[in-house]
Amino acid sequence: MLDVQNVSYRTRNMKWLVRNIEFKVGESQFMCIIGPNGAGKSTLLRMISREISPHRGKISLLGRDLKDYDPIELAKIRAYLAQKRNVTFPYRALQIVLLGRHPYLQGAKEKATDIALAHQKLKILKSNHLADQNYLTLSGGESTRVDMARSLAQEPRLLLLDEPTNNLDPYYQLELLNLCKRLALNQKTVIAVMHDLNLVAQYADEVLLLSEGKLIIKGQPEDVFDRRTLREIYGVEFEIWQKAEGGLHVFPVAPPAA
Amino acid sequence: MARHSSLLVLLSLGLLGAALISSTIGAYHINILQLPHILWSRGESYAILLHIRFPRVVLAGLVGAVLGLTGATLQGLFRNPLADPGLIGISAGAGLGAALWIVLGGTALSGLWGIPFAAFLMGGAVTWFLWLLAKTESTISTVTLLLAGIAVNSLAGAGLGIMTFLADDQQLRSLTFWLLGSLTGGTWEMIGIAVPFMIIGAGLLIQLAPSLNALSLGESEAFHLGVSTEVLKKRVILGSALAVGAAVSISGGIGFIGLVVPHLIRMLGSPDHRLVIPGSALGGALLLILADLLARTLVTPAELPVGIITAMMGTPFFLWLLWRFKREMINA
Repeated sequence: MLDVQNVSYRTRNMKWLVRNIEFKVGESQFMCIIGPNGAGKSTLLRMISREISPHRGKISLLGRDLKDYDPIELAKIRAYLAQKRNVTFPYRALQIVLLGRHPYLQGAKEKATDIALAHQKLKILKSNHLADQNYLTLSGGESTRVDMARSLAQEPRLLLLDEPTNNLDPYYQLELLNLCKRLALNQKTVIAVMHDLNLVAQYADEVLLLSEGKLIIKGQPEDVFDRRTLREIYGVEFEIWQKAEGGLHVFPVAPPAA
Repeated sequence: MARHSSLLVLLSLGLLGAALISSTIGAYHINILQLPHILWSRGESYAILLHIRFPRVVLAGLVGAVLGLTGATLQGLFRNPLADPGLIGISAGAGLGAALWIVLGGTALSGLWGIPFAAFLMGGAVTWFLWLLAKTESTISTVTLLLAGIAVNSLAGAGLGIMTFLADDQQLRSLTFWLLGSLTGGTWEMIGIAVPFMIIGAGLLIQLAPSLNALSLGESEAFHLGVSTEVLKKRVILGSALAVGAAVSISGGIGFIGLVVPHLIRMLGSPDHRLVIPGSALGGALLLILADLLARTLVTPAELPVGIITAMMGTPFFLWLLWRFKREMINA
C-alpha cells in the first residue's frame, strides 16, 4: 500500500527534521506514529500526504511514486485530517462534509447520493444532529467530528490523521479509534499521529516510534512499549500493565514530590 | 440549492429593473412605459438613451459586476472576509497612475485614453511587484501579499498626496473627481476599451468557485482535497488585476462594492462560492447602477462622484453588518 523509502526532510536552514526513515504499511492496518514533541511525526505525515516533498528518498503509494499523482487523483485515494483547522466563512456542517466530495464532483452540483453519503458519514461520527449548524459555532470536539466525516466523505483508501483525539472527550476518543479500527478491518489503511500512548497501546495494529527525526522502532504495541525505551525517549517514567483480555495499558507516572 | 437559484434569479430581475429605471431617469425625463416606442421611432429620446443613458448604465453595471466578482474571489483566496480589490494594491496603483497622468502628463495622448491607460499600467505594475514580493521558491504567501498590499496602499497614498500638492486648481478638480470614483466616462468607446480586459479577467475568476470552497478549509486542506493551490492563486491574482485594473482605469476608485456585496450574498444565501461569485457580480452591478443613479440625480444639474455615494451607503451598512453578525461572520 504505502512504501516509505529512506526519506529525509530538512528546513530551509538545513535542520533535518526527518532522517532516513524507511517502512512499509500494508492494507487493513491501523498504524500509530508516536514520539516526543519535535520528533518529526507531523512532518512525516505531511510527506506521506504529499503536502511537502522529501529532500531525499521517495514514497510510493499503491506501487506508484507519490510525485506522479495529480492532486485530484490523490484526493480520491487519501484523506488527511489536520491538527488545527480554521474555516473562514459560516458554512453549515453538512456543507463542510460535502466539501469532501470535491475530488469527485470538481464543481458539479452535488447529487442526492452525495448528500446521502455526507449524512451517512456524519451519522458514523454520531454527529448528524450538527448537520445544519454553523461550523464556526461548533466546539473543538464537534468540529473535529465534522472534519473527520469530511475526510470519510472522500472515501479514501489511506486515511492520515494528525492527533485526531486532541479535542475529543473520552467517549468520542474511543469512538474515533474504534472507527479507525473498523476502517482497517475494511481493507483501509489508517495512519495516525498520536500522543496518548495508552490509547495507542489499546488500538494500534502497529506502532512507529520516532525521536529526533529518526525511526527508533517499529512493531506491534507489545514490542514497542517497553519501560526502558519509553523512559529513554520521553524522559519520564511509564507504567505498563498487561490487560487480562490481552493488550496493554501504558501511562506516564508523575515523579515523587521532592 | 434551490434557494441559490432563486436568489440568483431574483438578483437578475432586480438588475434588469434597476437598469431600466436608471435609463429613464435624469435631466431629460423618459417615460419608462414608452421605452419600446422610443426605441422604435428613433427620435431625440432615442439619441439620449443610446448615447448617454445606456452606455452609462452599462458601464456602471460592468464596473459594479467586476468589483463584486473580484471582491468575492479575493475574500475567498485570502480567506479573509475583509479583503477587497483595493487591498492588493490594484486600485491604489491605478489611482496613482491616473494622478501622475493628470498632473505631470502632457497632452501627448488624448485625455480620454491617457488617464485610463496610465491607471491600468500602474495598477498592473503594482500587482506584479506585490506578486514578486510575496512569491517564495514554491509558494505564494498570502500574508505577505496582504501586508505588502497595505504598505503599497499607503505609499500610493503618499504619492497621491504629492500630486495633489503639485496640482493646479483645474487639475485638482479633475483629480478629486477621478479619485472619488465617477462613471462620467460612460461612452461606448470607453466601454469598448475596457470590456475585453474585464471579460478575460472575469473569465479567469468565474470558474474558481469549487476550488475556493475547498480553500475555505485552509490551504493544505484544499490541497488534500485535490486543489492545485498555486495555480489557483495565480489565476485569482492575474484575473483580478486585469478586471479591476480595467474597471478602475475608467471609473476611478469606487469603494465598498467589492467589500460589502459578497457579505450580503453570504447573509442572504450561503458562503458557497458557487453562489457568492455569480451573486456578487449581479449584486455589484445592481448596487452600482442604483448608486450612480443617485450620484447623477441628487444634486442636478451638478453631479456627485459616485464613490461618495457608495462610501456613504456602504460604510454604515458594513458597520451594521459587523455589529449584527460579529460572531458568525469572522472566526476570531
